[in-house]
Amino acid sequence: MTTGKKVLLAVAAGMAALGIVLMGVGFVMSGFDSAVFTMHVDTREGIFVLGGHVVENPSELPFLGTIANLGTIGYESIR
Amino acid sequence: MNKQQYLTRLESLLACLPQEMRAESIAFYAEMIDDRMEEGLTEEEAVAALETPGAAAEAILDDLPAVPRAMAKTRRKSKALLWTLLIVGAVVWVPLLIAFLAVALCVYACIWILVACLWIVSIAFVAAFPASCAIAFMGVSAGVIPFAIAEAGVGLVCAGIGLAMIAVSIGATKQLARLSRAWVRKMASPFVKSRNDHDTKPGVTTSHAIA
Repeated sequence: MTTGKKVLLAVAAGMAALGIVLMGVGFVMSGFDSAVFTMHVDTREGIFVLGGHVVENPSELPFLGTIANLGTIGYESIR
Repeated sequence: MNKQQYLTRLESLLACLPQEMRAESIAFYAEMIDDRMEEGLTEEEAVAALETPGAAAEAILDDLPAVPRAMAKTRRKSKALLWTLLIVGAVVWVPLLIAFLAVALCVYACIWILVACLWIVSIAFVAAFPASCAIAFMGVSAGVIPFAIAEAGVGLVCAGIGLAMIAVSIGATKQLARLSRAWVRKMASPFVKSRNDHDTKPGVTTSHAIA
């Protein structure tokens, strides 16, 4: 295995490990609520739910206000 | 039999081959005779050391790929027979040839589609990282910190998987490129002689070739 590939795999492993830790931290901070990994945007009803929490005044927030005109988007990173 | 008689006889037996291929074979055998004469043999002895022109011609034809060999042997019997078989048998060999080419092309395309799929999945995983970061930023803006942290984690995991897949894809691409080359050689083998086969001349034993 070449050095470049070793470095690439080491970086990949490090990122994945850090990601799993962060996911765990987020899950614990949410009180072990699996909804923390979900996001739901319904522009017709004006409902924006991030991690199980309904966002107040989403149109004032960056990105959310932009995507409000795109239609209904359902997103779940982990079910 | 002297050198000229041997080569003339061989050339007449190879009349069914294209001019270029015939000239190449004749030149090769002429060189072999010259080599033996340089080693001290007389012209007749050098010719006698070789196989008969008939055996040499047969070996040269046998060394051809399947399709040219069949055509050359049929042409040697009769040009009319060759053309008759080509025209009458067209109803069979043309569809078979088309099917053969279609299968060859499909397998070749599948190999490279597999490569493309690997890279698309790898890039999709890596691209999930900035997307997750953007979603995490939305979470921070909305004050949902656990969601933001979890999404950042998901993005990092995706990026890690994507980078690992890129490393795998690089190796797989090299292997599949070799596989595609081998496939092309295999598919061309009934029609074209591969370069490796040109190292030794047909009808010449290894010891002859080395000599």
